[in-house]
Amino acid sequence: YPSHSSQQPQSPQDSTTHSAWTFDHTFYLRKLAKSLLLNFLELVGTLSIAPDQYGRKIEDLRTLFINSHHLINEYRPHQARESLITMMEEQLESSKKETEGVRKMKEKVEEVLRQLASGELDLAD
Amino acid sequence: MADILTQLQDCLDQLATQFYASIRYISTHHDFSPVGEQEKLSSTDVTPDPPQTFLAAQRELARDLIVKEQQIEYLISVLPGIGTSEKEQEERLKALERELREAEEERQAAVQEKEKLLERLDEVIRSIRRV
Repeated sequence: YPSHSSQQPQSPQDSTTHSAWTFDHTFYLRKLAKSLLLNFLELVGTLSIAPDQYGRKIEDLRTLFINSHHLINEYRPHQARESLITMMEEQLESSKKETEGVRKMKEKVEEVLRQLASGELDLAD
Repeated sequence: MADILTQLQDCLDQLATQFYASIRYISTHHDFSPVGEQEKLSSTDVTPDPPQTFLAAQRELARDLIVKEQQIEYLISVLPGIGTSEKEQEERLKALERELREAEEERQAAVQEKEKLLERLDEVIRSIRRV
């Protein structure tokens, strides 16, 4: 069985200035997801041919799972900043809308005042 | 909805559970094959399924594994902030902060103007009533 499974992905250098490491992350995560499936296949194969070998295969799977979770957690700060940006954008949006609403209402009030002042407004309407 | 990374971790855990469940199903529902003319063995903790259902179940388990793996790959592809560096994010955050402050000031100003106008409106209404 090709047993490349327990290779440790070299941790991507996360210098803050460039974004290549985000692509590295997704690349390695995809690779890990695929090797998880492959290793499960190998596990089933091992169980059918040499069941006593299962220990090594389970170990490989365990390493793969640990590496995946590790990579995911390494990505968390980046995601946190990204969601902060989205939240601020939403806040900006709603504050602008509110100002817009107040301004429109202000114009309406001014309009009513102007009409009152010029006496055209027929009070019954 | 939980953030993408948490969903990704949940999917990974589910994948592990599916691994276990698939093997467990096979080891508890497999059929026995006779050796020579010997009688087929049987054991208490194995309840053989008819071949049809056993095969169908295997296929379904395999398909579920693939579907789960595809979900994982999809989640990986929609991770937030792919291709943006930390520096770009920080710049964006600073710009947003400024914009938010400006928008807040505008909102305050608009509200104050509105208050003033409402007072004028009250006066006008009161003056009408007195007439």
